[in-house]
Amino acid sequence: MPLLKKVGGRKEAPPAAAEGDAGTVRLTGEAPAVPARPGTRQVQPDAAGPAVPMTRPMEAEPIIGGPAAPAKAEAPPRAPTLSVGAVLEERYQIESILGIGGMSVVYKGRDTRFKGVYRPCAIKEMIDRSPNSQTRGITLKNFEREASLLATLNHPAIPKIYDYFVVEGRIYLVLEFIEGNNLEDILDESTDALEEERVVRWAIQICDVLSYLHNHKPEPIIFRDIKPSNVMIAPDERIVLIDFGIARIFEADQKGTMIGTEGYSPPEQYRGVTDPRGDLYALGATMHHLLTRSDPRLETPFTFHERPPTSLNPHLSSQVEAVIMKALEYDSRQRWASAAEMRTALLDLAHLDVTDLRSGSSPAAGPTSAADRLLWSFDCEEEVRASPLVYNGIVYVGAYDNNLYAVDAGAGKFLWKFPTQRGICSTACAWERFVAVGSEDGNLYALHAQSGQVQWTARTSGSIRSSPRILLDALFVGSDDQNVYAFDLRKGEQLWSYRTWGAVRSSASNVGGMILIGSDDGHVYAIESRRGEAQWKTRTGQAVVSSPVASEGLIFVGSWDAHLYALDQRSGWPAWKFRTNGRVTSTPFVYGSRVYVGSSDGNLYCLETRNGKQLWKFESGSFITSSPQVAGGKVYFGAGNGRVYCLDAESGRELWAFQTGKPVPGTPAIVEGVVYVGSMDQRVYALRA
Amino acid sequence: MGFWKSRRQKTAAPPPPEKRKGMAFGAISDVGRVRPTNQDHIVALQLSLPTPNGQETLGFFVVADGMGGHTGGATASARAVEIVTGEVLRGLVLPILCGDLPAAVQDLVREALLTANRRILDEAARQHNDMGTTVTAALLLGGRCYQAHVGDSRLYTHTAAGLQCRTRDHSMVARLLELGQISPEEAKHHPKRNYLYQSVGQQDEIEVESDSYSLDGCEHLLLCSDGLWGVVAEGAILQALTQGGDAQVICEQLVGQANEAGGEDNISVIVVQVPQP
Repeated sequence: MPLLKKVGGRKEAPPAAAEGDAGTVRLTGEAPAVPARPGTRQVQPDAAGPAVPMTRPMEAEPIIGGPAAPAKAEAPPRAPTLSVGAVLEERYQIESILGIGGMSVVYKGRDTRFKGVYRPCAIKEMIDRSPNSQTRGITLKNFEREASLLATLNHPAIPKIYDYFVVEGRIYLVLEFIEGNNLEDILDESTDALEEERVVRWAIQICDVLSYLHNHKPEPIIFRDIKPSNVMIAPDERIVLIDFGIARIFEADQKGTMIGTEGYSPPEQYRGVTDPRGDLYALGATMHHLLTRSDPRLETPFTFHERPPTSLNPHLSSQVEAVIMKALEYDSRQRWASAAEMRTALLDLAHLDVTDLRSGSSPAAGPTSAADRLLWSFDCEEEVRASPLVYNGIVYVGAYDNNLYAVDAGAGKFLWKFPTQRGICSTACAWERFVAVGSEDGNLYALHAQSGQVQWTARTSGSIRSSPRILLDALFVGSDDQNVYAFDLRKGEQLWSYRTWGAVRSSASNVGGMILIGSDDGHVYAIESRRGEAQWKTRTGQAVVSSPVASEGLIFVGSWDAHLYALDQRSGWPAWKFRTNGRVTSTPFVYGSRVYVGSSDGNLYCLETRNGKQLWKFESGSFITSSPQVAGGKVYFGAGNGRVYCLDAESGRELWAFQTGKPVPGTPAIVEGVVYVGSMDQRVYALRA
Repeated sequence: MGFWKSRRQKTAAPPPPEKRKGMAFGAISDVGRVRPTNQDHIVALQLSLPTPNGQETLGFFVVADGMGGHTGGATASARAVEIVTGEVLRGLVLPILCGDLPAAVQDLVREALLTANRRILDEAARQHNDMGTTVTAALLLGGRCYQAHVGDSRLYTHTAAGLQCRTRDHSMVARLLELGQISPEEAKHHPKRNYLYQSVGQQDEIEVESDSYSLDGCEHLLLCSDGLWGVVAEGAILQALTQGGDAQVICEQLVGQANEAGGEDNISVIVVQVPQP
């Protein structure tokens, strides 16, 4: 993002005099050739002119102007002084203007000394009529430095310098003319992110030339301004670095001018520290931009780690992401040690078939790895829509064959089953030596956890699809009879009921002495847990089947109106809501500062809890009613396509997927490195997490 | 969306009267001692509204610090407070009074800043200037603060534990400080200390930072432009708040301190005494 200068800063002149600040070159007496973009105060001027070699105006876009720094390019680009047909030094004929910058103009010229041969060249002209002699001196010094530097270098990715002369106080550099476009223009002209394979091939070449520069003798040369507009791509896909105006000889431990380009420059460059690994950071930033189309100049500075490439472009391989993210480490010591090392890592990638690298192909779904993933499966006689509960080494899970099953968690061995009168989609809960589960037969059953013998039964007048939840000595559950019930944990006696205006399929959560639960009437209720009195209720657009989850004063809950809501715990006022494109039946899961939720639009969303900002989404292609569970930095959930997914919780990148025979509507339980989950294929699976 | 508390809730015994305190605020925007004009604008509102939850107190506070040559900065900050306040009145206050469904509060405040950005950008383009402004807005409702900001005007909460800055300056220097690349001392003298990487009215796309939090235990909120925080140390701000007393008097003290330190920038301060339930 271009920096916006706050006119009227503490140490500056009053606003009336603040047209430009110290260090800004004033170009008096000339109309700007390219008007400043209205309404935008940009430190960086727009790239001027057509896609050309050496188009980058020499001093354009230095980021920090210290006392001795080159001027900030706030000045309008200057007008060209030579017209087409003009001849310099009786040798170089001007053919066209390639680009105009604040301090220089680049022409396409022809070297007429070679008769009968068309030999094009790029002619860079520097004119500085700055009234500030110090500024003028710096500009001239930069220009001379570029010329001398180029004269000492010999590499196919560095333009050759042919000539250097002064005419009427104007300084000229004659350079190799490079056919092609710069990467910024190539990106602008494309509609999608650029191809991974192509970007990797360019990056290898950039590493190659950086390695050449960094190993320059007697001292390394640091380019200091790698970015898309400084990399030309010739028609044969050869890369050429342009604009050595700010490249400098590396002087170890010496602070230099703070210079570079916002968004691409490494953080240490703002302290004036120049290090070869700063060029690798800028290359990482350039690759990130090309592969994601996310312009680093428009983002908060140094936030690449919050925007890993695969979260913006799911087609990218995790390998290329790893190479880029290592280059983008804040601490230069954590980056690739050298351009050569980064080049080797990229070469390893280039040798692989890129299509094999794509994470979307979910290699773990294949039969071989699926066998590795599966620890055991257990067959029920009907669909398993409920979520398993794992308690003291036993998996309790209900099925549509009416039974609650108890299965040994280690081996998947059948222990007992308890028949109810109808299907079970409620998840059991457990306390001390007991488990309780609701059934569509309308009853809530409390059973001995070891034997399955009935301890007590509590009746409601509708199916129970809500899952019972325990708070102190009471158990709370909703019923299709529209009531929320509180039962005594010991005896199953009803403590209170609270009537809503729709079936209650959501499950309760408790926070601060309140029970929070949703209803098909579209409301979320906060009910005082002892007396059963509503504290507040908040209306959403449609049924609330998702279960509320409380975290740090906010209540998160999904609604069939397609939104995830964040409500103020105390008053129920909606703080924010996030729109998906389908019903949100899934119960959200809060993990740190993130909330995860599925939607019937097929996506799993990861949002910031504090403001609902989407960090990433994962497209499963099929409805997600399952509630995501996060454990060990991974997020697990089932989907309508029969898959159980495991994603990286940070980036949303798929780590593995396990295919079951039918949809997985329920929520997995993750205990001690094992994922327990039911499928409508009538099985319960135990998978290695 | 509708919501209400049960009648029974409202009859609950009130907390001991000595601890109860209503909302109150003080607000000052001062030109300082050096600049010819004040480019800051502030708005402070306190309303009592009949809601389904019962009578609720709503507080709304905005600080905008304009930037841009000549009068542009003052225009941008004036337009920003006008637009943001208007959006909140239209999106929340009027719907509450009419019994309509109000928007999600945090979304509303954030979107108000986005609206201000779009409109000021359009106006700047028409007038061929580059005006822009910082905006920091806070809405207090139901014991919670909903805030949104762009730029480097700050919001602090004051609790028994001290002063906490709730906003992150959108400046390059603040980012470098966050990353430990420069020291606080270097930040004070950094050549880019006045550069923001985003503001309202100068870019097509901005990322409004928003947050909400419970005000339990919070005694004061303080919103200010960098004319205050840039020259008056947080320790001195904390001391003024801890001494307590009338919010307007606290504002006067703080503005006085900023002027004593040179008053080189415009100084805007809003101090809100947070209601204690």
